[in-house]
Amino acid sequence: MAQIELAPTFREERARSFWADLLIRLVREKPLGTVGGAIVLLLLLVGILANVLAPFGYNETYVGPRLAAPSPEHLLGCDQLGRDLLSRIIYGARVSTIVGLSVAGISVLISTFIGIICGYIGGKLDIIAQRFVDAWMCIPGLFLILTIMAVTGPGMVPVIVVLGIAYGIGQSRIVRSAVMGIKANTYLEAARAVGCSTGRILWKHVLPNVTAPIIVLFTITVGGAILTEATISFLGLGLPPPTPSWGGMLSEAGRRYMLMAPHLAVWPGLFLAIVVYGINMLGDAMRDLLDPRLRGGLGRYDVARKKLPK
Amino acid sequence: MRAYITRRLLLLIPTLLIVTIIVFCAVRFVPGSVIELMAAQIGEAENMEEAIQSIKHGLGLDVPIYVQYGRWLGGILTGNLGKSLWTGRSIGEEMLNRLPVSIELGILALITALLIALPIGIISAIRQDTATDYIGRSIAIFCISVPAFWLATLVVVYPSVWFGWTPAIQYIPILKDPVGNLKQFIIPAVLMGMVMSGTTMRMTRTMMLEVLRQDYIRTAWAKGLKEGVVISRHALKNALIPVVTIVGMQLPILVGGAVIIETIFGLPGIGRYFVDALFQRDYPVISAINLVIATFVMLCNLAVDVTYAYLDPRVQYT
Amino acid sequence: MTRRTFVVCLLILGLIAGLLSSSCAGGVKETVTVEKEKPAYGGILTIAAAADPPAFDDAVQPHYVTGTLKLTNDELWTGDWTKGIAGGHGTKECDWFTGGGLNRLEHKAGALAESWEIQGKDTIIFHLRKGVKWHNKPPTNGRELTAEDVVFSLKRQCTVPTAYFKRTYPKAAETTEITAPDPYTVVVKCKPEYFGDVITLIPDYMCIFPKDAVEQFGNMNDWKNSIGTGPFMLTEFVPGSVISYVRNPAYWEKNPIGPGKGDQLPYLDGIKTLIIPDESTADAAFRTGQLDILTCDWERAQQFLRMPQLKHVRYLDDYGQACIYMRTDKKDSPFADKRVRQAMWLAIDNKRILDEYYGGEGVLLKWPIMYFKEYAGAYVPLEQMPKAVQELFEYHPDKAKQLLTEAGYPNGFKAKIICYNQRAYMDPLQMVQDMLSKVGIQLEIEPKDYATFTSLIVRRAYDDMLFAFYSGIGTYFKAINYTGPGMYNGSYVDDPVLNRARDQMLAAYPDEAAVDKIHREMLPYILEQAYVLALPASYNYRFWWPWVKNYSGEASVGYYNVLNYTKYIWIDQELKKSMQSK
Repeated sequence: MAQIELAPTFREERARSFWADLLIRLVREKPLGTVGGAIVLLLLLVGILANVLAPFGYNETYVGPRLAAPSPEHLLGCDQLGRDLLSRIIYGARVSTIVGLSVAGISVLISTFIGIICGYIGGKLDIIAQRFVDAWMCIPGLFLILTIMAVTGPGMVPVIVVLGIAYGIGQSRIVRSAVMGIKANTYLEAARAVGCSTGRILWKHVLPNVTAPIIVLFTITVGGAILTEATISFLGLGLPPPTPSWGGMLSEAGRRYMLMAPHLAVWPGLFLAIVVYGINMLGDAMRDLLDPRLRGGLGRYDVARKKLPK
Repeated sequence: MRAYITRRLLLLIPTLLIVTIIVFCAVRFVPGSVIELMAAQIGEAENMEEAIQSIKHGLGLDVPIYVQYGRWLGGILTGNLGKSLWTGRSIGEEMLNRLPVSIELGILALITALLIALPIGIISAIRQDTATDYIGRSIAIFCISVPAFWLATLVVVYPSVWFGWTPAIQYIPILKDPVGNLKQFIIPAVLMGMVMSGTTMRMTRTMMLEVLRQDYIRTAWAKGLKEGVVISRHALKNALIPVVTIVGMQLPILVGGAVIIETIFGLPGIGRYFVDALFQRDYPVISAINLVIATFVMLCNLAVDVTYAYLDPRVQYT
Repeated sequence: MTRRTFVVCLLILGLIAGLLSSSCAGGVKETVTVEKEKPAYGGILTIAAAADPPAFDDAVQPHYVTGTLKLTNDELWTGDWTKGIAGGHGTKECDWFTGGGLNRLEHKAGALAESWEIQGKDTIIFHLRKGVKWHNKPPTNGRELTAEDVVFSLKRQCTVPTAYFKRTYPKAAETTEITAPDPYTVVVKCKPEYFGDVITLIPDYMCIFPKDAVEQFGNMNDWKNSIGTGPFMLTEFVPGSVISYVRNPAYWEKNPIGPGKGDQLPYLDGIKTLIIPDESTADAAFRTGQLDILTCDWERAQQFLRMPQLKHVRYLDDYGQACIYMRTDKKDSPFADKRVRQAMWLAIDNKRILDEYYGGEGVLLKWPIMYFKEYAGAYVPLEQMPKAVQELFEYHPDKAKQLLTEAGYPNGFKAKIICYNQRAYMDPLQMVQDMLSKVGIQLEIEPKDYATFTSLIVRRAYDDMLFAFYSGIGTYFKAINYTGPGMYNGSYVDDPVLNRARDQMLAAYPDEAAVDKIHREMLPYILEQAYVLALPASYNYRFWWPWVKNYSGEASVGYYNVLNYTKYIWIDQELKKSMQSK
C-alpha cells in the first residue's frame, strides 16, 4: 500500500515574545531601521551617562582658549566661553532627548485622545471639538510661546509644555482623519453588533488600526520638537543659556562664528542631523513592522510585483 | 454637502470672535506692555508716572478693555484693520504690501515641497525596502534634519567668502522685475520647501504602503492591470487623504511661520511683521495679523475637510 | 633667457610676493588718510539698518529713533565737522565716532542758526541763516525758511502731548518761551533751573519743519509728506526693505574744510539704506561690496580685520552697555553696606573678563562715563585714580572675604539678579556668578525677555540686583546715573555728596570746563563707593571700503545726528568700479 504523502504543512514555529520577535525582524528586514535604532540607543546611553562620559562640565568656562580649534585635550574644540564643545554636545544629547521625548509624548497623548474620540464618535461632539481645535490652531505658536515665556520666564518646562500642546492639538486632525477612514469598516460594525462598549471598541479595535500614523507622528514629533526648539532659540525664545541644547548652540554661536570657528557650527549640526535621521528611520521601520495591515498576506504588493512577467 | 459648508462658514464667525478675544486680552496682560516699552525711551523723564499716563492716554489704552475691543471690532467691521501703535501707519496698507511676499514665498515653497515629497514618497512605497527606497528616504530625512536657519546662513555666508556673491538683499517686487524677483525667491523657497517636504514625504509613503496592501489593489493586480494604472487610478487617490491634511496643516505655517527665512534673506513678509509686533507689543498689529491668519487657517481646514469628502466617498458629512 | 622673460619673471615674483604679504598682513593699521584729491560729485552710498525707522516726526516719537530726519531736516545747531578729523584736515578735537550722544557746547556749529548769543542762564538768541530753502515739494515749494517755521517747530515740541521734550521735562516745556522778533531771529527764554535741559534739548535736538506743511498734514509722520531743509530728500520707503534718498540740489551748506572747501554739499547723488535685520546677512553684503560702510562689534570685526583692503576705526559706544545695579536703598539688605559692595567688586576679576570674554578688546572703566575724545576733560583714566579705586578693578578675593566678614556676612549671602535673556548679557553675568560664588555670594540669574525686562526697569521693580543699562555721556552734567528718581539711577543712590556735586554741576553749566572739573573730582569718590559694579566695555568697529572718501569713521556729527556725515563724504566711482570688477 502506497504511503499517503502528507502535504507539507507549515512548520510550527516556537512562539517568540513580542519584543524579541520585533527586534529580530527589525535587524533582519530593515537595515535602515537598525541603523536608526542603533543611533537612538546611542543617544539614550550618552544622555543617561553624560556625567560619566563628558570630560568637562557643560558650563565650565575657560577650560580651554576661546574658540579653540579641535585638539587632543579638546576633541571638538572650545566655544566662545572656552567651554569644551565635546562635553556640551554630550550633555546636549541629554537635553535633546528630554525635550524630544517629552514633547512627542505629550503631543501623542493629546492627539490620540482627541483624534480617536472625535473621529469615532463624530456628530455634535466632533463639530464642537473641532471648532476648539480650529480656534487653537489659529493662535500662532510664537504668540503662545512668547506669552507663556513672558509670564513664567524662560526655561525648559514652558518650552516643552507649549510645544507639546501645540503639536498635539495640531496632529489630532491627522489621527481623526485616520479614524474616520476606518470608521466604515465592517469589523467595527460587527463589534458594535456583538455588544462591545464604545470604550472597548476604541481601545481594542480602533486604536491598533490607527497605530501606524500615530507612530509616524511620534517619530516626526521627536525630531520636529528638537528642530523647533532650535528655531525658536533663533528668536531668543528657546531654552535659556547656558543649557547646552544643540539647536541653541547652532542658532547662537554656530551662526555667529561660522567663519571664525566653523567647528562650532559643524558639530552640533551634524549630531542633530544624525540623531533626527536615526529617530525617523527607526520610526519608519517600527511602523512597517507593527502595522497589522502591512504584515504578511499573499496579495502583498511587493510580492505580487515580483511575480509580474518582466 | 452644501449645507455642511454653509454651516461651517457660519461657525467661522463665533470661532473667530473667541480667538480674537483671547489674543486681544492675552497680549494686554502679558508682562512688559507697550506703554512701558515706550516709557523706556524717555528714561530721563523727571516724572515717570505722569509720562506713563500720558503715553497710555495717547495710545487709547486707558479705557476699559471691553471698550478697546469694541472699538477694534467696530473698526474691523468697517474694513479698517487699525493703525500701528509705534509707527502710526495703516495696518491694512502694510499687510497689502507684505502679503504678496509671504504668499509668493509660500506657494513656491509648497511647490518645491510637493515636487520633492510626492515622487519620493510614492517611489519609496512602491519600491519598498530596495536601494531606491533607502536613498530616497535618506535624502528626504536629511532635508528635515537640519534647521532651516542654519542652511540659510550657510547659503548666505559661504558664497560671499568664496565667490564674492550674496543673494539679492533688497526685495524686488514681482511686478517691477519678474525675473529678478524669481531669482531672489528661489533660494529661500527651496530651503523652506526642503524643510516642509520631509513630513509630507513620510506621510505619503506611509499611506501609500497601507493602501497598496488593500484588497482592491490585489483585485487590480488580479485583473492584470499595469503597474502605472494600479498606482495612479486606484492607490493614489485613497492614499492622499492624510497627505492632504498634512499639506493643509502646513499652509498657515507658510504665511506666518517663515519669519526666519524672511529675516535672513531680507524679505519683508508677514512673518517678520508679526514677530516684530510681538516683541514690541504692537497690539493692533498682533490682533490684525491674528485675525487674518485665523481666517486663513480655518478656511484651509474647511477646504481640507471638503477635499476628504471628495476623495473618499465613504466619508459622509451629515 | 631673454630680457623680456626676465622682466616678466620679476613681475610675477613681485606679484606673488605682494599677494603673500597682503594675505599675511595682520591687523589693518588705523591710519588717518589725509585727503588730497578734490572731491567728485555723484554716486550712491549704500548702508545698512537693522530695523525700520518707526517714525518720521520727532514730535511723535523720540528723536533718536527717527533715523531719517537728520538727512531730510536741519536743526538750529549741529556738530562741528571741522573740529573732527574731517578727512585729515580738521582740528581733531573730536572723533564723532560714537553712535550719537555727544552734546558739548564747545563742539557745536551753526546749522540753521548762523550765530547765537547766550545771555546768562535764561536767554538764547539765535540768528538764522538767510536764504535757506525748503525742499521743492508742496506745500512749501522751495520757499525760504523763516523764524516763523522755527518758532512753530520748537513750540510744537513743547506742547504736543507725544513730544519728547514735553513728556520728559514737562515743567521745562511749560515755562519756556519761544518768540520771533523778526523773520531771522529766534529768542528762547526759560527759567534758569531748566537752562541745562533747554540748551541740550532744543538747538541740536529738535528738527525744524515747515509750518504750513504741519498744519496741512497734522503731523509729519507720513514719510511721503517729508519736507525739510536737509541735504537729502526722502524718495522711497519700503517697510522692511529699503529707504532711498536723493540729493537736495538747493542745500545751503558749503564744504567748510579740505580740498573741497567751498563746494556745494552734498556730493552724493543719493543714499540707500537697506534694512537688514540679520547680522550674518549684513556681513556678507558688506564683504561683497554691496554695503559701503558697516558698524559691528569686536567679534564680527575679526573677519574684516583680515581684509587689508578695508579701512576701519575702533571706538567705544555707551549704548547698550550693562552694569550690575543693587538696591542700595534697602536698609537691611547687604547692599546698603559699602564694604559688601566693595567686596563684590573685589571678587570680580574684571581683567579676566576683559581678556578672556572680550579677547582683550575693551576697557575696564566705563561707568559713569567712558572715554570719549570729546569729553576728555570730564574723564579720569584708571591709572590716575587713587590706589583704593584701582584696587577695585583688580582681583582680591581674600580682601573681599575679609570685608564681607567685617560687614557681618562671613558666609556670604544669596541674591537674585535680573538680566536680559541674551547671550551677550548672560555670558559675562555667568562669569560673574562663578567668581562671586568663590567668596560665598550665591547669585541666582533670572533671565527675562526684552519687554518684561524693560518694564521691570521702567517700573523700578526689582528686588535685589539688576543687570541693566545706563544713560550716555551727553547727560553727564545732570548726574542721572547716580542721583535722582529717574530710571537710570538703577542703584537707587541717594548720596548727599553726589547730590551736592550734581547741584554744583547744574549751577556751573554751561561753563563746561567748570563742570568737567567738578566731575573729575567726584569720579574717584563715586567709584570708591561701589554703588554700581560695571563690567568691562568692549570696542565697536566701523569698516568702510576705500572708495568712500573724506570719511574717517564718523557716525554722528553732533547730538544724535546719525548719518549726517554723509553730506561731507564722496564716492570715488572709478575706484569702486575697478575694485568690484576684481
